[in-house]
Amino acid sequence: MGHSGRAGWIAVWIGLALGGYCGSGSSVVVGLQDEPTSEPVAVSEAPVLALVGAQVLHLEPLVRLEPQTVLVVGDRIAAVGADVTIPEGAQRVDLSGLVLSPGLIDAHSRLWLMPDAAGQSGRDARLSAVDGLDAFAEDWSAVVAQGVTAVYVQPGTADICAGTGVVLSAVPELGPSLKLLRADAALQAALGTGGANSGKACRRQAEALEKLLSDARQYQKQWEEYRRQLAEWEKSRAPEAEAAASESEAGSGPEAGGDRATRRGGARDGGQRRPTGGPGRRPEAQSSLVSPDDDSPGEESDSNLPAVTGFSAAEDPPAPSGESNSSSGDREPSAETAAKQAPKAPAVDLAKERLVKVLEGALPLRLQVNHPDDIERGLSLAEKYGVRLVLEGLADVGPIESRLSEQRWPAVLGAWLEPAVTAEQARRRSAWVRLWGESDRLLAITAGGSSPGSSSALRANAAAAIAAGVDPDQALRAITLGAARILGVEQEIGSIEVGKRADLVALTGHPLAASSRVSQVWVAGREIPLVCDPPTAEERPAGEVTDRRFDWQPPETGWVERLPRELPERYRLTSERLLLPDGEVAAGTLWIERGRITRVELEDERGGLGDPDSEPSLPQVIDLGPMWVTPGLVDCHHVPPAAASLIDEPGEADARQLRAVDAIDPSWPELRHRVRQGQLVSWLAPGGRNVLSGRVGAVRWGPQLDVLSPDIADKWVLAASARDVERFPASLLGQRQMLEQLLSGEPAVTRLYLPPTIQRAWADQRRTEVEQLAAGERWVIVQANSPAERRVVVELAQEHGLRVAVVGLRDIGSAIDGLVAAKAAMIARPLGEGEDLRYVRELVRASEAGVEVLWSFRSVPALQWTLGQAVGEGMPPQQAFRSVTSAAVQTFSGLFGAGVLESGSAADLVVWDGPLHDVRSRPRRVMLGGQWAPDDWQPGGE
Amino acid sequence: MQRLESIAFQTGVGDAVPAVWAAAALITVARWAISVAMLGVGLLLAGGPAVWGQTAAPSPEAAQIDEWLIEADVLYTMRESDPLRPGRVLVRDGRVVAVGAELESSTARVVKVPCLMPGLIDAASTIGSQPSDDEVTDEITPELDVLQSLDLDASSFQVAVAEGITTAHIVPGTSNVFGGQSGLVKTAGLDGPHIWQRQVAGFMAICSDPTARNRSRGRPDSIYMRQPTNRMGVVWIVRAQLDKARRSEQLEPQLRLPAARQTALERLLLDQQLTMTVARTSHDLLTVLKLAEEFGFQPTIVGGDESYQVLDQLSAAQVAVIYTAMTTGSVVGRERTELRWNVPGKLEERDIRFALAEGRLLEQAQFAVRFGCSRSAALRSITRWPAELLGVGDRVGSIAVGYAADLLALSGDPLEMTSRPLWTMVDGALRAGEMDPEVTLNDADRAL
Repeated sequence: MGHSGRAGWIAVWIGLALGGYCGSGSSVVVGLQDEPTSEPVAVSEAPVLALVGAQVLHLEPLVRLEPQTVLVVGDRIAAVGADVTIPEGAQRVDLSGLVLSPGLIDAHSRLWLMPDAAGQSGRDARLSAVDGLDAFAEDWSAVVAQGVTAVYVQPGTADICAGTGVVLSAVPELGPSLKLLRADAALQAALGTGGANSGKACRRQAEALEKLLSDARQYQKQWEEYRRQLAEWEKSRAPEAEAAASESEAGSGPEAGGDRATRRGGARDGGQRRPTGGPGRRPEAQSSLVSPDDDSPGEESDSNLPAVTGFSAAEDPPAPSGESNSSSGDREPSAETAAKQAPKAPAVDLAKERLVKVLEGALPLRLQVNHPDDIERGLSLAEKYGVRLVLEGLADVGPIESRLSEQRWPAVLGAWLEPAVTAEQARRRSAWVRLWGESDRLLAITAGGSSPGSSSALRANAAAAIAAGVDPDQALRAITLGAARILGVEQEIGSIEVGKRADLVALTGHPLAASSRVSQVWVAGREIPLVCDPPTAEERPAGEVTDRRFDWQPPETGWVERLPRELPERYRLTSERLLLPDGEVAAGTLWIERGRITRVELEDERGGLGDPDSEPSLPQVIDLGPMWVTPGLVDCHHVPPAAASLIDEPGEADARQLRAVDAIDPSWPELRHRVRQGQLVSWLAPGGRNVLSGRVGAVRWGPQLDVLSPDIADKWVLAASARDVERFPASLLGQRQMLEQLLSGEPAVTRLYLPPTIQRAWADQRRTEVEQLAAGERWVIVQANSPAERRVVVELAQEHGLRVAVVGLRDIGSAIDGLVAAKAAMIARPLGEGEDLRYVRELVRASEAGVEVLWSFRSVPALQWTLGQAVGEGMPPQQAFRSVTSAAVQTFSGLFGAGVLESGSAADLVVWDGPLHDVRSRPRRVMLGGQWAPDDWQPGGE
Repeated sequence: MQRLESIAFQTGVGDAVPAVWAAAALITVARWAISVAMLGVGLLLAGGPAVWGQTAAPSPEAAQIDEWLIEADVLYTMRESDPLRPGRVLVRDGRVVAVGAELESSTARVVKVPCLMPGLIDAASTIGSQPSDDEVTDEITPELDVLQSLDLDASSFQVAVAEGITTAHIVPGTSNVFGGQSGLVKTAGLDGPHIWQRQVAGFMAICSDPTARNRSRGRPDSIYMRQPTNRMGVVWIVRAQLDKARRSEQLEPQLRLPAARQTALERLLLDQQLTMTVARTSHDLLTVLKLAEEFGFQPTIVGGDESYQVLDQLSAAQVAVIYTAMTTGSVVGRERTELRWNVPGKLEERDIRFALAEGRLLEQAQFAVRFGCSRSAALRSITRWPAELLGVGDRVGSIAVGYAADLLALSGDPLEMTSRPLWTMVDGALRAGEMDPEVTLNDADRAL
C-alpha cells in the first residue's frame, strides 16, 4: 500500500511538473488528501515555494540586485530577505546564478484580443475589451517565454471612445478561461484618429468627446439629485419604517432591523436585479466571460484597488428598496402610500456609468493623441472635467511640450525598437525622453506591435528606450512597477514585495540584457512550462560561463563630448575595447594615418613603447577609454527600397548584367540613417523579381559614397517572387532548369531576338563566369524561402561546387544539414514581431555546425536584440560580434580594405557606448576615412 | 484499468483482510491510474505544439531493429494462393527473406498482427508538389523532371506513410501538353522520404487541361503567347512535336528541337520509357489510341474516367489504366458516382490491367469491391499491379522472397471499412504507427 502510494505520488508530481500549472493538479492533490501517509505536509495547506540563491531585483527606492530568498505561499509572496527561514516541507528551488525579476507587464498589448476586436472601436464607451478576448489563442506562450506575465488590452482607437480595457495575466487560467487582474483598468479614448486628418474633423472629435463627458456629468448630477431626494424621503418615512421593522422582527426572527436590514437586503439581492430593477443602485457592468480567480479578482481584488472600492462604497444603496421589504407583504397599504411619495430613479445608462467613473477619478482616461492640437484639446478637457489622463501615441509633441512637462500625466509609449529613420521620428523620441525619461515621471514602455505576440519584444523595447536616452532604472520600472501603477494594479503585481502576487521571472542575467535567457516563470506562485526549453543547470551562468567583459554598463559620460572635433592627419586612437577581426575584444591602440589604419597595437604588446606623451615624434593620442570601437556593421543583403523599379527588369528572368550599385542614389534618406546606426558597409543586391537577378556590389556609405566593388557576387532567386507566368520561368522547376542551363554552359533561354554577334558575346562572357562559379571563385547569394527551394540550392551547390550564401530561409532547423553539406553560408535576419525564439536557436545550431552566419538587417536595435538572444542561446559573443562585422569581409573577399580593424584597412570606425549585442548600447560617433563623419551623419544628428 | 482493478481485488481477498482493505487497494489502483493519466496530460502539455505537429512517429529503437518475424493471422502476399491463414514473414536487412505458414527465427523480433499486406503503391501522386509547380510559360516541357522541385519535407509524406503508401509515383501536372518526367519516391527512410527512380515515365496531357487560361488573341499582347487554346490544338501540338522529333535528322539544324527536348521525345517514340497520357473522356481516350498507333508508342492511360465506354478499344490496344476517378468526394458532371465506381469492375471483366491512384487507396479499393470488382483485383490494383505498371514489380508490390520489406499491418480485413492501418514498414524499418501486441490482438478477435 505504502509503496504504491509513493509511486502514485511520484507520478503525480512528474505529471504536475510536466503538465505544469495546468491546474487540474489541484483536484488530484485534493483527491490524495485522504491518504493516510506521511507525504508532504504542504498538501493540506497552500504549497510553499522557497526560491533560493537568486539575485532578487528590487525597483524602489533604487533599482538594485540583492542575494535573497523569496518565499511563496500559495499565490502570494510571503517573505523576501537574506535570512528567511524556510519552513519544513517547502519546495526548494535553487536559482543560483540567476536574476529573479518581477513578472514584466506590457501596458498596451494585443495578447488574447481577437484580431478583429483589436481594430474595433466605438463612440460612446460602450465596448469592453473583455468581450473581445479569445481564451483559446496560443500566442501567450511566446510572450511568457520572454518574461511577460501581465498585459493590458483595450479596444481599438479608431474612434473617439470605444470602451474599457482590462489587465490580464499573460497565462491562461486552467481550461479555456482567462485570469483577470483588473476588469476596468482604463477607458480608452482617442482624438485625431480614424481618418480625422483635417483640423475641422479633429475639432469635431474633441467636441464629441466633450459632449460625452458633459452628458455624463449631467447624468451624474441627476443621480446625485435623486439620491438627495431619496434620502429626504427616507427621513420623512423613518418612523413608519421603524414600526415596520419591529413588526417584521417579531415575525421573522432577529434577522434584520432598521436601516441595517434594508442595506443588507439590498446588497443581497443586488445580483438578481436587472439593470433598471430597483431604485438606489446603479448596476455595475460585469462580464462573465472572464473567470474570476478563486482568490484574487472579482470582489476581493476590487477591495485591493482603492479607486474601485471608493466607487463601490459610493454606490452602496443608501435607501431601502421595495423588494427588500417584500417579505412583509401584509403591509401593502403603507408601502403603497410611501411609493407615492418616493422619487423616481433616472434611467440607467451603462455607457455613461463608465464615463461617470472617469469623472469621479476612479477610472483613468487612456487618451491616444498624436498631433499637438489634439494633445492640447485633450489636456484642456482633462482639466475642465477633472479627469485622470494616461497619454498614448504622442507622435508629435511639438509646442505642447512645456505644458505636458508641467502637467506630469503618465504616458504609455511604444515601438522603441523601431529605428528613428526620419527626423520627425527622432524628434518624437527625444521629446519622449525629455518628458518621461527621468525617474520622477510615470512611464510605461510597451512593445507597440500590432500582433498578439508582439509583447514578446517588451524587454527589447525597454532596452531600446535606454539607448534612446531614458534613464536605465526608469526603463526597467516602465515595464514593471511603473506599468502596474499606470494600470492601477500596483497592489497586486509589479515588484517583488511581501503580499503581492507571486508573478516572478528567473533570468540568466539582467532583464534588459538581450542575452539574458528566461529560465523559469511563475505566475501566481505556479511554475509555467515555457515553449522553448529553459536553460539547463549547466547552461546557467556560474560566473565563469558568460564573459562579464561583455556586460553592459551605464555609459560613462563625457568621453564622447571630450573628443576633439578636428582630427590631425596622423594620430593614435586608444580604447579598452577594440573589436578585432576574429571577434575578440581587446584594449589597444589604432595608428591612423591619412584615413587608413597603419598599425594595430594591443595592450599587452604596448609595453616597450614608453610614455606616449613624452615622445614628440609619436602622433597624438585620442583616448576613447571604455568606449567600444568597432568597424562599421555590414549588411550582407541590402536591397535598396527602390530595387523593384530601379534595378529589376522583369521582362527577362536572366538579368545577370544588371548591377545593383548602378542604382545608387546618394539622396536616399536611408543612407544617412544607416550611417547614424553604425552600419557603414552594405552588399547592395538587386531585388527578387528575376531568377538571375544581377550583380551584388559592395558599397561603403558616407558623404563620399564609395563603391568598393561593383560585382562581388551574383544573386539568384529561387523564391516565388521570381516566378512569372508572363515569362519563363513560372515554376521552381523552371527556375532550376534555367540555372542548370547556365551552369552547363548552354546559351541563355531567352525568347528575345538577339543578333548572333550579341549572342556569341553573351555566351563567351557567360562561359568565363560559369568557370569562375564552378571553381568557387565567385560567390552566389541565393534567395530561397521554402524547404523545396532550399533543397534545390543545396543540390545545385553540391553538384556544381558553388559557393553560396542563402538568404531568406524561413526554417533553418531542417536546412542545417544541407547547408553544411554544401558548405554554404547563410544570411540571417533579425527576429520579426512576435516571433518566438526558435529561429534564434536554430541559428545558433547552424553556427555551431559550421555554417557561416551573416546578417541582413534594416534596424540595428532589432539586430542587437537578435544577436543578444543568440548569445543567450549559446553563441559565443565573439562569434556574434564577428558575424556582423568582419565575417562578411572575410567570407566574400578581404580585398576591399574596409570593414575590419586591421592594418591597411580604411579607418572607418564606430564608437559605441556598450557591446554590440545589447540593445541598450548605441553608436555615439562615426568615423569615416580617419575623420569624424559630418554632424548630420553622426548618431543623434537627425 | 479493468485488469488492474481485478488484480487488486484478488490481492485483497487473498490476504483475507476485511473488505475495507480490498476497497482501499482498489482506490490505490484507481489513484495510480489517475496519476498515470496525469503524467500523460503532463507529457501532452509539455510536448505542446511540437507533439501535435507530427504524426505519431515510431520510436527510434523500433526503426533500428533489422530482423523481424511478423506473424499475421491473415497474410496477403499478392502472389498465388492468397491469402495465407496464418502467414509469417521473415524480414532481414530491409528485405523479405522468407514467407510461409510455419517460420521460426531465434534472432528476430516477433510481432503479431491480424492482417498483413504489401505496402501500397500510389500509381499517380502529387504529394510534395504543388499545382503551381507546372512551368506554364511553355506548353512543351517534356524534359522537365518533376522530382527536381519536389518538397521532400512536405508533411503529406508522413500522412501517406500512415495510410500505408510506401511507394509513390510522383507525376507532373497537366497544365502543359508535354508535362515532363515523373519519378518514384519511397515515402519514408532513414532521412525521410527519398527519391528512388527518376525518369520513370514521360507525360502527355491529351485533354483540355493545357488550354486553361489560354485565349486566342487577334494579336499578341505579350511576346510570351501560350498555346494551345483548344483541345484540337492540344492534339496538334502533340502531333507536331512528335513528328518533328521523329524527322529530326531530315530537318535543317535550326529547325530541330532543342537537344534536351529531342532526347526526351525520342525516349518516348522509341518506347525506351513509359509513356503516360492523361485522358479522361471517351474521345480523349480514343485520341490517345489513335496517336499511339500513329507514332508507335505504347501508352498508359492516367485518368480514364469514361474508359467504360471504350472498353473494346482499350482491351484491343492492350493499354493499362491508372484510374483516378474513384473519388468519394463530390462528383460533378454526367458521370454519376455509380458509373465511376463501376469502372474497376468493368476493366477487370475485360482483362484490362489497372491501378487505383491519388491517395486513400484502401478506401478506393473498398469502393471498387462494393461496385463489382473482385477482392483480389481490388487489392492487386493498389499493390502488385501499379508496381508492374511502373516497372518495379520485381521489387515492390508483393510479399515474396527478395522483395523490399514494405509492409502494411491492418487491424482487420483490408477491404472492410472497419479496419484501420496499424503500422507501416518501409524497407524493413517501422516508419509509421506503433506495434502494440495487445491492441492488435483484441482487434483481430473482433475483425476476423
